[in-house]
Amino acid sequence: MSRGRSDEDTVKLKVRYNEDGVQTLFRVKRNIKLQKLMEAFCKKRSLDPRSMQFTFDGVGLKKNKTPEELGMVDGDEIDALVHVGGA
Amino acid sequence: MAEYLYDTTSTKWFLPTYFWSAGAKLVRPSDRTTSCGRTQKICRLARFNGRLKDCMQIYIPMHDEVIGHWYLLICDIFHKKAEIWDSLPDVRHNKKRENDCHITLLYLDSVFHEDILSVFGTGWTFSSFSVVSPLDANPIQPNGVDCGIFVIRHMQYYRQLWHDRYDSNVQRMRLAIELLRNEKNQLRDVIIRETLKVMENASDFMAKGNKLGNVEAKDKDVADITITRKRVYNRKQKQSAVTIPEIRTGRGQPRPRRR
Repeated sequence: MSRGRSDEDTVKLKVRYNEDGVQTLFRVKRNIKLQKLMEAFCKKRSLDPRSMQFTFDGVGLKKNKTPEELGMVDGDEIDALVHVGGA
Repeated sequence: MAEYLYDTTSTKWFLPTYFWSAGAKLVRPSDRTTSCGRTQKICRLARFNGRLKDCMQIYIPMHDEVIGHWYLLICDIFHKKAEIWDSLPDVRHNKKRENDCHITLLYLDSVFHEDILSVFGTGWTFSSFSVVSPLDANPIQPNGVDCGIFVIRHMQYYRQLWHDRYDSNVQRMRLAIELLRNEKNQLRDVIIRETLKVMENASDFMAKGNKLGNVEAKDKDVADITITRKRVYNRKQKQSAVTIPEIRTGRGQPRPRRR
C-alpha cells in the first residue's frame, strides 16, 4: 500500500458488493492469496465471510488462488454476492 | 445438478439462484436495461445466446426474503404461461410473490431482449404471460426447511410424482448421492476413492481423530483432477465450437482456473 512500491508487483482490483452496487478499491500484491482480499473486504463492509460468494467473470473465486494465477489486471472487478438461505 | 445447468442443447433452461437474488430483485425499473450485462455475467447467461427458439421452459428459483423461502417460477414459452410452484403458499405472502414473479418476467424481457426480437419479433413479451399457481398438483412441504429440496425436485421432475411418500431425510440423502454419482461430477472418482479409503481405515481414522491430513491430501488430488479435466474440455470446445463451461456439482468444490 505504500507509495514506494512499484506498480509491477501490485494490481488494483475492484470489489463490487452486489446488494448496493458500491465498489471498493483494493491494491494487492499479485502473488497474495485472494482470501486476504475477501477478508479485508468483509471487514471493511462488516459482512460475514461465510455468507459471501465472490465471483470473477461469473466464476466463483477460490480462496487460495492469487491474482497472478487468475490473470487479473488493473481495474478488474470482483462481484461479492450474498448466499441466500431459505426454508 | 450440473448436467442440466450446463447442457447447451437442452430445451429446458435452468437459471441460477442469483438471477433473482442478485439480479431481478435489486433492479429498479429505470436501470433495468443497464444492469442486464452484469446479470448475464454473474449468471453466465452467455450459454443461452441464440438458443431461445429451441427453448421450451425456463426455470427460475425465486426467493421470498420476508420469511426466507425459495419457490420456483416456470415460464412455459409454448403456452405463454408462468407457473409458480410454491411448496409453502401463504395468503399473507402470495400477492408479494406473484408480484416478484412479474418483476422477474419483466427482467427476462430485458435480459433476453435481442433474442426475443430475433425469434418472436416485436410485441412478444415474457411479461404478458399469465401467472398461475398449479394448485391441483402443487405439493406442500411437510416441514419448515425443505423448500430447497422441493425447488430442486420440481426442476428435475416437472409434474412427475417424485413427492409420493415424501420423506425429508430420504430425499436429502438421495440428492446428495445423485450429485456425487452424477457422471458430470468432476470429483466423483476422487471422492469415492477417498470414501473407500476412509471406510477401510475407519478404525485408524477414528483413532487418530485428525482429519486435517486427509483433507489436505484430497485438495491436492482435487487440484490435479481439475486441471486434467480442463484440458479435455478445451479439446472438446475446438471440435464442437460450443462453449462448455466448467461443471459445478455442489458447494465447496474447486473450479477450473480462469483462462
